[in-house]
Parts: sequence; C-alpha cells; structure tokens
Amino acid sequence: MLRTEVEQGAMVSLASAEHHDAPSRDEGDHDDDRTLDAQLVQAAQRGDLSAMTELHDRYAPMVHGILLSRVPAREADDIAQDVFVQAISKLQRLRDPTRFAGWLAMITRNAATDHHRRKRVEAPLVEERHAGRCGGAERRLRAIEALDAIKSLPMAYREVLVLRLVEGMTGPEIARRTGLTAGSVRVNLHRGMKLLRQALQDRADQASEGSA
Amino acid sequence: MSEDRHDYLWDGSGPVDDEVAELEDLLADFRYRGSATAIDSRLPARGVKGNARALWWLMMAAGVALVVTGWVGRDGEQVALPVARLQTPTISPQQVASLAPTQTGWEVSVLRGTPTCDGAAVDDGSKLMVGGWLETRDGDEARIAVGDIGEMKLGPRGRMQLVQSDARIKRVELQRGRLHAIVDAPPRMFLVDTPTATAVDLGCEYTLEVQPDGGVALAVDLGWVALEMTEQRLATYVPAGFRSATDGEGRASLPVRRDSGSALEAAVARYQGRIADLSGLLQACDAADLPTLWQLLARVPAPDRRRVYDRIVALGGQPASDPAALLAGEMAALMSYGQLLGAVPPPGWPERTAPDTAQPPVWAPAAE
Repeated sequence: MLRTEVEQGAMVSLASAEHHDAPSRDEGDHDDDRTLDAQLVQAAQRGDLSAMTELHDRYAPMVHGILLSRVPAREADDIAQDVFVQAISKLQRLRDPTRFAGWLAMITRNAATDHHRRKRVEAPLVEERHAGRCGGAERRLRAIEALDAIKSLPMAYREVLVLRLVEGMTGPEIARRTGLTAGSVRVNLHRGMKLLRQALQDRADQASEGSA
Repeated sequence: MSEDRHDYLWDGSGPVDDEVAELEDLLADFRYRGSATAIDSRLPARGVKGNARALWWLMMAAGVALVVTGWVGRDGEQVALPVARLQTPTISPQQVASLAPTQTGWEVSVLRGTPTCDGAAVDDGSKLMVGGWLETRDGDEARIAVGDIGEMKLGPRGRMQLVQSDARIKRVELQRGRLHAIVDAPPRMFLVDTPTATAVDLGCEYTLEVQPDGGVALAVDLGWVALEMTEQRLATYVPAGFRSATDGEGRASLPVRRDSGSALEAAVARYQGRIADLSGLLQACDAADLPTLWQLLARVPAPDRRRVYDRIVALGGQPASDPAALLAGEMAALMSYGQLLGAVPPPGWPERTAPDTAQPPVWAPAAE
C-alpha cells in the first residue's frame, strides 16, 4: 500500500535499499516502538487519557509532515487537527494496535487527498511568498523557496525530506513513525536531498539570470 | 558527497552538513507547533468516549490555536488570509477531572413577565434541558443558570435553545433576542451560536443580540470574546469596552470602542463597505483604538500592513519585537503583537478571583 504513495515516477526499490540499513539497532528500536505503540493504543482504546496524549505527542510531527508535503503550509495545522479527531473517533476500530503508525499515516494521506478534492482552486504558498516580499522578511522568503523546492520533488522524496528537514525527525524515527522500512527511508532521503540541492541550485541560477 | 554527510542527513550524527543544517534551520519555521487546537467543535457528537472528549478538551485548553483570518476587502473581492493563532491558557488535569458531566439541565427563573420553557410557563422548578427552547415575549425577561459556570439573561422577544451542556462545552443557540452573559470558566467552554456567528467566551461578561436580518451585535464588558464565523473560518477578537457586529450575510465589522466617535464609526463603516478608505480610517483612530487597528492589521492586504503598523506606533503603541515577521503576516508575530496591545488575551489568561456578586470579577492577566 505504501508503494502506491510513490508518485511521479519516483518508485523506489525497497528490496534493493535494505542493505543500507543498520539492521540490528534500527529494527530493534522499531520493534520496541511498535510494542510501545500497541500498549498505548490499547490503553487509549480503554479511554486512558495519558495514553492518548502520548500518542498525539509521538505522532503529531509525522502527521503534520505528511500533510505539509501535500497541502499548503497554512492549511497543514488545521488538517492535522482534523486527522487526530478522526483517528480518535475511529480508534476502537483498529483491531491490530501494532499497526497504529501505518494506520494513522493512511488517515493522514487520505485527509490530504480529501482536502484537495474539496478545494476548487489550489494556489499553494502564493500568499506566503507575497507576504514575505512585502514584509521584507528575507529569511521567510528563503524558507518558502526551500519548501517550494521540496514540494516540486516526487512524493516519495518530498515526504521524507519534510519529515527530516522541517519536523526534525531522524531517518530511523521516520521509518518507525511512517511504517516505511529504514532502507527505503534512507534511500529516499539521500536521493531526495540530491534532487533538492539541484532544484535549489536551478532556482538560484534562474534568479541570477532574471536579475542580470 | 561523503558518507559522513550521509550520516548527518540520516540521523544527525557525524560532521554537520552545512547545507542540510541551513535547511533545517530555515524550515523549522514550518514545524508543527500546536499541542492541541480548537477542535472541540469538530469532534463528532457520537462515537467518541467521554474520556476522549475530555482529553481533547484538556489538549485544547493546554494550547489552543485559534485560527484567525481576516478579510481583504478590495475591489469587491474577499480573500481569506490566515493570519494568526492564539495560545489560550492551560488548565490542569485535576481541573478537567473535576468537571463532571452535567447533563441535568439549567435552572431557569422569571425576572419579568411570563417566559416559557418548551411551551410551559417558567416557574420555580423550571429547567432548560438539552434540546429545549426558552422563549420570551414583549416585556419578558428570564434568568438562566449556565450550568455551574455563570448565568445569563434572555431579554424580551428572545428565543434560545440549549444545545450542549457537559463537562467540556456549554453551548446555546440564540435564534433571536438579546442575551447578557457572565461566565467564569476556561476559555472556549461557553459558546453561543447565532445565525451568522458563534460568540466564543474567552473569560468575560458580554451582551449579544441577534438582529432581524440574522446579524449579531456584540458588546463586551469584561475580558474578551471571539466572534467566530465558522464557515468562513474568520474571527474577530473583541476586548472589554469594545463592540463588534456581523451583518445578515455574516460579514464581520472591526471591533470598535463602545464610546468611539462618529468619525471612527463612519470610517469603519466605509472600510467595511469594501471601499479601501484606509487613510480615513487610520486618521479616525486614536490611542484608545489600538485593538481596532490591530484587527485591521490582520485584515488589510499585505502592502497596507506597514501603514497600519506605523499608525499604531505613532499613536503610542509599542513597537513589535519582530516587525518584519509582523508585516509578513506571520501568525505568531501577529498574535504576540495583539497581546502586547491588549487586543487578544495574554498568555495565561485568565487568572481570576472567584466571582463576587457584590462587585465584578477581577481579571488579572498573568505576567508574561
């Protein structure tokens, strides 16, 4: 199912990526994480408030990052809230609590898709860029340009780069939270970063040509 | 590209990749910040356990991000601009736990005339239950206990329904008439729906009246009220001593001082009429109108923000700590500046004394 999220020809060979892993530690952490998730989910299903809070805190960056790679930045927070509302409403239906990460990621991606269906006109980041220029906020403008460049990449790279560079998650964390294998995350991060450097360079070149 | 750089990209270990680090620093501005949001109204009415609802209330109270948007009224075109978010105060889990469900109805009593509760004349034992309607005719007035968090009065020719009353939310629908509410509760616990907007209590006393065309008039005596137009995701923050209104189509006015002069009234009316008479509006404001100007700052198109900001400072308003971010329309900067100007509740609001019937509650915002 996760492979279906790979868009724009960026299909990654997950099998070939496996040898990049540091398998023992990452996989061990992954197992521990799934066990803890399962315990938290079961507690949350019984109505344990602290478990729900813990799940929220653990997964909010992942949810937000997935959304940010798909929807305008100004919309991501709100949709993230919708996702958690939806997830908590459906939590009783999650039969295998060890699959919480992938289940939540799926809800998140579906929420982004629904968002685009609802939108009549999509004009991501236009307002932010405009505001940045008018306010003279050079840093803000550069940030928007960088995010824009990430969003120009194929989805497989876009998502992991946002999670790594925006949300501050490490590669192993991304793997644990999204349900992707560590190998595919690593490969997508590196390939994505290479493409991002190129995209940023192209933009810089275009800007200098434009100003010349 | 070396393997060391790969390591930094992978897990932050090894020598820092300067380019990656710069991107991390730049893009951190987009990072998820909310621990919770104003999602209470989005929760489904069924299928969620009470504890889950309580959790979301706790999370909401622990750091609500109210999305505030403004309208750009220029050349007849309306554009929603997301501009701000507001951190509202925290309440402890113990406080949440103490808020036991109270689906027992609200006590109603007669102040004048013969109000009716679900068609029956109100008497000493009357209670307004969830789903029930309270109505007043000419000369009638009724008092309603808002659970255990306050009270309100429904004036003549009024009609209201109790929509929800539990540990998390007390919600009524005011269909017509005038309501005066005094509430002592965490922000966003008490909500009044009207045909065009929802009045969201942020800790205050206020009067709300539904006009014949469905528009509302709000006047705030204490604290702050957010007048939210849910469909459009718009909000107007109205502080004590100010009033605001929506028209029948849900268009919200700027908040204006209740004792403002006619010049400001006219200027606001012109601006709300989508004629961008910004200069006249700016000149009509004085030092007491900074909350009005702050809201204007949130609504004007980006190129006009500088003019509004300059006027605020010229009138004695404190300069923003980060004017560039403010003028760029960054939400955090805008809300922080609103707090500085008293246009929105400060962090930690409200810390208050217990309500006293002999004198108004003392509202003591926490020191920043």
